[in-house]
Amino acid sequence: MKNILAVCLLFLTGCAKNPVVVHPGSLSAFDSAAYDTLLTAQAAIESATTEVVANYPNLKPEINTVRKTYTAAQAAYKAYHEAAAAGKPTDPAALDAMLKKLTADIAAIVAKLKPKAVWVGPGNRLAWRTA
Amino acid sequence: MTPTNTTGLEIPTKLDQILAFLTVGAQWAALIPLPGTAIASKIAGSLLRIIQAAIQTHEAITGEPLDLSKLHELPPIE
Repeated sequence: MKNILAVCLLFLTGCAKNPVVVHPGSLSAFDSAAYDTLLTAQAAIESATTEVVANYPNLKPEINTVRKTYTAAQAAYKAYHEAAAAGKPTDPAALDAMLKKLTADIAAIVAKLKPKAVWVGPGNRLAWRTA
Repeated sequence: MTPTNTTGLEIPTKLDQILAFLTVGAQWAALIPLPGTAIASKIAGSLLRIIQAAIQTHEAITGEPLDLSKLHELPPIE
């Protein structure tokens, strides 16, 4: 029951429309949101890595793809931020594309943890196949 | 090009997408307290921990000053 409540709470939290809060020190709403996205993704990836190492060693190639994408995206963001702060030309569209790829890679590995097919097994126990 | 153009409006969607992908996992995890297999329980626990890490971090940094040192490389694992 505790787990159900925790999941409901997390689901509601995740679906809530969060007001946009710009981080002090950021150069713009875009700069702030990109930073926010990357830090959140970083936490998810580090947690996912712990899970993969402990429970899903077969998913190491996938988690390494995500880590590589993240590393490139955070480097691109830092370069973007420094260039914008210095008044140099920037390419937010390129950064946006990298963040899209990061999101897609995270989605791919989360999909691997989702059940592919659910059925009622022996003894009326719920079971599923992983993707 | 100024940072606050239409592209800037898309970025928060990415964060929403990350949380949405993770919370879809939570929907599946909600099935776990029913009689299930060991593998199902393991999946649920993993998803919950990933979701918690993402949401807790998001909440913790909301309104905090931007700190680039918090972003670091994630080298491949062996």
